[in-house]
Amino acid sequence: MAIYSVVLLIRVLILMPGSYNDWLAFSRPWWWRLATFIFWVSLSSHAWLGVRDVLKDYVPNAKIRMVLLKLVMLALWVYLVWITLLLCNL
Amino acid sequence: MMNSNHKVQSTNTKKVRPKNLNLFTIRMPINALVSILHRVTGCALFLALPLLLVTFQLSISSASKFQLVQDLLHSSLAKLIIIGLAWSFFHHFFAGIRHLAMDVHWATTLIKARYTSKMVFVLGGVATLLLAISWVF
Repeated sequence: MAIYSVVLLIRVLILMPGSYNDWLAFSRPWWWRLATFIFWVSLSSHAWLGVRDVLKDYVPNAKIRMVLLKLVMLALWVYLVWITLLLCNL
Repeated sequence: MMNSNHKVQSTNTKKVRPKNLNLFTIRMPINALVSILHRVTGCALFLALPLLLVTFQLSISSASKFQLVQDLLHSSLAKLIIIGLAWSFFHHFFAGIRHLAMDVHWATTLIKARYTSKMVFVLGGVATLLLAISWVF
């Protein structure tokens, strides 16, 4: 994820996408979309672990915590499907 | 006989261990500050994820939507939010690298750990400053 972030920054600084077409051209290369997808998968498990730890530490009620954990899991899955659809439709 | 407030426990139940999670009462050396901010920025970034996705979706949907996103992102409120999220990201990023370094036993002594903590704050601040300058002006 760190490498992706750095590469993203470098690509933006070099290519400087300013217009809509520039932005599409920036986002469309197949290897970039693949990297973005892999980034998002990593991000999902990374975020899950982090938020799970936070909920475990600060939500003492087991029932409420379980509900919140399931909501977070659902949200992360929705985000993953969402970004996948966006990347496929580019 | 014992005070009625005293918890009565049989030998089979777990001991109730003292727990203090009130962050405002815990002393904050610089390493602790880096650590808790790592957690706080992580939460902030998590909450910002749907915003990121919506923005990206709009930006690729059409030229007019792209322009809308551009205009929105350059509004004053958005600039404030972007600076906040940017610092969150940079702090989380550098604190995360520090975490990984310490996992492989680099800079684990107190003096070195304090030094890397300061580096996290300096790098985070510089990165945010650079982004603020390039985005706001």
